[in-house]
Amino acid sequence: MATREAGKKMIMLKSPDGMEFEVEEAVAMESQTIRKMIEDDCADTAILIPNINSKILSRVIEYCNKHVPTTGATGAAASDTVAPAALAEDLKIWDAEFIKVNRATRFDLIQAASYLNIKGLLDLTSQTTIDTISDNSLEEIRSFLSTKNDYLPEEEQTIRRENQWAFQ
Amino acid sequence: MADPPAPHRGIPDEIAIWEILVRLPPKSLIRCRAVCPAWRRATSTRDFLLDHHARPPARPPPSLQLRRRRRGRRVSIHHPLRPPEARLDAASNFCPRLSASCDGLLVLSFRNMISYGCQFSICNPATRQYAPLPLDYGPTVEYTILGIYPHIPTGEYRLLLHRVQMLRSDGCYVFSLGSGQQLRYIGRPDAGKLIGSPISALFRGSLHWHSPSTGSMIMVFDTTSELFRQMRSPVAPGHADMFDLGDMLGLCSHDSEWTKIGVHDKLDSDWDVVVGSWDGDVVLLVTIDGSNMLFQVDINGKLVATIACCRDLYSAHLWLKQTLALHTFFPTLEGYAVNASPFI
Repeated sequence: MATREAGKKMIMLKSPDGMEFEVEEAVAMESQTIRKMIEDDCADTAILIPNINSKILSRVIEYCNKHVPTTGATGAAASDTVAPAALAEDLKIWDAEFIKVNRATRFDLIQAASYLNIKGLLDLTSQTTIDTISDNSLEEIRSFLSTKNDYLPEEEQTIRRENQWAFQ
Repeated sequence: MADPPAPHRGIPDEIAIWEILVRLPPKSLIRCRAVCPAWRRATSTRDFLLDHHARPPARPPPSLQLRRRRRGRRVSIHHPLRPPEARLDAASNFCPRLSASCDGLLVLSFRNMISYGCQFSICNPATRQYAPLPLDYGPTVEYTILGIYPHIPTGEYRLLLHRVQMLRSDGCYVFSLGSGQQLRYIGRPDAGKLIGSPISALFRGSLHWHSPSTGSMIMVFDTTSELFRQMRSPVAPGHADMFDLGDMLGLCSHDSEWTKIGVHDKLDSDWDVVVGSWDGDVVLLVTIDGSNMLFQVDINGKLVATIACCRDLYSAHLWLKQTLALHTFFPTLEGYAVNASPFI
């Protein structure tokens, strides 16, 4: 396995469109899916990440780099000098910027976070979708998620009637 | 949002259901069942409902409030900042009170304002299941709900009650829901001093009370062995709100000195503080002369948000994590109903 910088273990991640990303093992292990592969010794050379294109994968790596506990490359000394609250505040601001993407990218990020099992990224990317679903009408939800309504009109009416209270 | 209009790619059903819908609050989830049949089927399975129940809510859990109306008596269940999750209308002459909650269940007491007896019922506001509890009531017997808890060894939900008969403290009883509804005497007439205490906090399998009547001790009820014990309180005797902070037991107490600082010259006014926890932050609901203010304070003591809330609400001192998981004991209770009166 490749090594760089004072014995930090590196891992190669490959996207299906052929791009390769060399990342620190600690960063890659922000993903529980990859962590499991490494711990099970299934990740000797490069790990192919199916279904996640290089554009999305690079954003995911960007997120993991920022969120890896601060002994990593991004802030070796940060934890000694900066109060945890300030770090958390900094991360919140960074997250808010990170998630300023269009809907299609956000949906791709949700899928990537789900497959790679990165809880923080999943919470972050799904929250706006959850808010949209909570606050909008059924028609708006369907259009937002491109969900096809295959209820007969009378079936939908029945379900609405049964749960009238939830529509108030 | 600067997104182009439809058509566009959505999210595969699998992800929408297991990553998005599973995190929705119960009311939104119920609405989403009308989006398409696939969502309805998937969100009605037992696996999904258990997973949904196990997730921490994406937003703060609703706190419970009582709203009183001039005609009839109405219980309104909601977070101070959001519209009601559920509402119940008590029969005339009955005054409702929210007495205890755990795992999405809510125990209500209804005091008959003429005979003064107290009747009880249990409900799940998210599934709209409701059932009266078969406990005697009348002028000579009076039960007080001290808490509700899951009894881990049997998987049953149980109520801890205190009974006063002919004006004498009779001791505590455990009422098991769904197993022939037996009432079992466990002694401890001295637990009568917990009546009027702040509502108990369920933390790591024990109910906890901190009240002036327990002195410098915290009363603890182990829900597995169903025995009382005591532990020393870290603060001076007095009223204290206790709450589950996740990995710690939170305790909020205040004395008259604090009162002076907290509400300045309004010492004679009617004021009240309820403390709860959400997502690592502490939430304080302060009521002064009927006006509510909500303060969110982070773990370092920094005030994150201050919000003025609706005026004619009364806090019930309870926090409810809503769940759509179906509790199996409901159908065994006589008078069980779903999505019917007293829900409105």
